[in-house]
Amino acid sequence: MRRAPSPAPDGMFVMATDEISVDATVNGRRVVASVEARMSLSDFLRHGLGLTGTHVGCEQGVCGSCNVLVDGVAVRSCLLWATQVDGRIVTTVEGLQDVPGLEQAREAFVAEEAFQCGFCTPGFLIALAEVDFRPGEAGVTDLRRFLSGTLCRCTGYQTILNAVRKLG
Amino acid sequence: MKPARFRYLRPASIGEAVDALAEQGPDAAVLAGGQSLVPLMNQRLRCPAALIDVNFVSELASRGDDDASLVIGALVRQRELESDRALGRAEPLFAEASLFVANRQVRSRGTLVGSLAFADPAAEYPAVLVALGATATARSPRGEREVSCASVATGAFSNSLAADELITSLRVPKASAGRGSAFTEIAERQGARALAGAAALVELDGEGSVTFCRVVLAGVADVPLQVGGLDHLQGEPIPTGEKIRELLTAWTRKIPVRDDRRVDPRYQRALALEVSVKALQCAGRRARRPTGCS
Repeated sequence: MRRAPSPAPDGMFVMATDEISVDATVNGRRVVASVEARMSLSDFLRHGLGLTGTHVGCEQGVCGSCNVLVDGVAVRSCLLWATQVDGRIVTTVEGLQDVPGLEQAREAFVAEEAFQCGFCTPGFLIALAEVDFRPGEAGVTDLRRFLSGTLCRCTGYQTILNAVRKLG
Repeated sequence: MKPARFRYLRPASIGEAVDALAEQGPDAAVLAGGQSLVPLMNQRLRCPAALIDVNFVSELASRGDDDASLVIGALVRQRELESDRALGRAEPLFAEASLFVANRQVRSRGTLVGSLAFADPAAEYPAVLVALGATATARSPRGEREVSCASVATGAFSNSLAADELITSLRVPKASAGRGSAFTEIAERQGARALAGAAALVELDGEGSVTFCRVVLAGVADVPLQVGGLDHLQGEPIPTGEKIRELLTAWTRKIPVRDDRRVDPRYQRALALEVSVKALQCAGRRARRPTGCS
């Protein structure tokens, strides 16, 4: 990866056989780089930017450990090409101190010991960062459905559910 | 694993996307949400020579309606079907089916049109679109044509579109008064592939007699499968669950279930019967009273 001289302007047809530019804001910092088109966003964050809080589990969109926010929406970073976040705002677990309400989630996870090995924790925190409902008031069925998007291979789901239910 | 190399094309308009698809030939793939295609590319089960990323074509993200139909652009994400109140009111079946589709993060990217074109036999939305009688608008250098969503899937993971055709939007006929709909599904885990799912529509007249009734199964056959044997319901009130079960038992025994080696075909037919009965009953109740079934 090398720094690109300038990003592609908006609304222009782009074609790349080799490297392509990406110009995005990651955790509040502008990032301009040149990447292979096939580089996933998760690999770009980890290897290109050194943001290793985003974990890569399955690379098939199943496990949720690589969840990040793109323009405030939680998505799988292993299923996006880095170049697709051109012009977007990306927030990883390292940037969550700037997301309102996440401090509470972090405290609840600690209080309930909602992790064993901790591999899945960034995925859960990112998923929680964009909830548009009040987890403490949601039914258990809805919460289980919501949490089903992220896998904990230690199977520590009950403590995770307990932590989420403590949130307002 | 990492995907094989590909040429990456990012058109900025529908015209450019259609031209790119025609130029790149049959080894090109269209990238919309990518929630089915990219996992396969990461496993190198799909290695397209060129990827045409339509995510920057803003005209594909539009949605709206006219007198008769909802119009849903190819970039409308599955989660918009849940969060958009107008769309949810106009067609509650999408939001109900979404409860069974993968998970929230995948639905944030995945599109309705992509699900239709990908033609996964276990996908929920194609069955919903077939049940609703929706049509797709396909664009190619030869022009535009309307395709019935029922004729898009031709088999597991294959569709009837020409290699240079791009689905730009869907038209979903609006619900009439007195219509009820329901979607239900049985899967091994929340968000896992459907063992059997059913989308049901029921329309009743003022007297409560059936004027229209359709059930479409997901996850059972290679393509969305319309349940037969429902003609007897025409002009009658919606019968009890037991009656519906009697009516459908003979038909479901003959379902050409797809051989996916996970489940015994007899078990899958039994599940198909269960979801059909449940969805039909629920749609019938909602046709009488919108909150008639939860």
